[in-house]
Amino acid sequence: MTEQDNALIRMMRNHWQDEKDALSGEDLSRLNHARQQALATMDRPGLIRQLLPARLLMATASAMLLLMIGLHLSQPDTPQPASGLPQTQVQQDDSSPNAFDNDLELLADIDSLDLITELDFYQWLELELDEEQTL
Amino acid sequence: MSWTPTADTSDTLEQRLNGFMASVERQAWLMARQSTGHQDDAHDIVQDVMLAFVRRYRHKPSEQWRPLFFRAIQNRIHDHHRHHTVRRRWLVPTGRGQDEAHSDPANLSPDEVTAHPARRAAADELGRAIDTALQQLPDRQRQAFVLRQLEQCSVAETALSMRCSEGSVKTHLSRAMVALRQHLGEWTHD
Repeated sequence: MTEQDNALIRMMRNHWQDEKDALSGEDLSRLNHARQQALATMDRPGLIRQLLPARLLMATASAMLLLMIGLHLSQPDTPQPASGLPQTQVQQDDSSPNAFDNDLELLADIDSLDLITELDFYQWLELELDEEQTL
Repeated sequence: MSWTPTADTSDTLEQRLNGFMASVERQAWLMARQSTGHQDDAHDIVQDVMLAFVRRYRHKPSEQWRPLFFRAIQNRIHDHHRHHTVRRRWLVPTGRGQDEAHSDPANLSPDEVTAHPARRAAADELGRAIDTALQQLPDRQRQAFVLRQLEQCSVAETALSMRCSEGSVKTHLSRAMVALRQHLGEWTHD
């Protein structure tokens, strides 16, 4: 390497160092925040492990949905109700297309997923109560 | 900030990781900014890498932390460019015009230049020439030059960071030097 190359590298090194030293307070604060956030994840389980129950739940729900759609499509057309049949009886019939739509709505409803995730809490509560009873 | 792998062993893992990341975060951010041209993108990249580093590499021997961290930075920068290319291909507006204009020191008002030391330095003519010359290098040449010559990593560490052989590092360095001589040669005569 020539003397000119060495001079070039020295010049660039000085500039690089100046750039590092001259980072704004805002940038330094953001870097510090990012570092602390990363360190805070040390004691937490991995994201995949955290999301595993939810992913299993979603997979099960999706499988059920597909199964229901499959069953529905394989069924012959539902016969129309007799004209003399009361309307309320038609609505309560589980095999009617309306009932199927309602099931789909329920499955797709995010609230139902929330309810299932709360089962963890009830399980924990049950364990706590069991422990209290044994004391 | 200086950091050595053989720092006080009575420190907890968290303290050692904190010290290590504090020692490399500025250069990591500069590398990301150099490559992406955007300050916010550089912050996102460093944040992602810190999270991944703590999760995946914290139990690796601390001698390996530096090359692993820089490798993660290079991978994440590469990933960023891949996504950016896809976005551009599909013509999704990214709202970057304002960011670009703001990050270019040439577009800053004198008040802004005086108010921010980083921008004042970047506004310096030589600084701009160096930044431009580095940005114009192909990615691999820039990585090799920054790690080996500016960060003064060993050839072995640079090769580990870049996931290539030591011979390749030397080739990239040699080509980078040719290009930098062409761009910045006039500055070394003064």
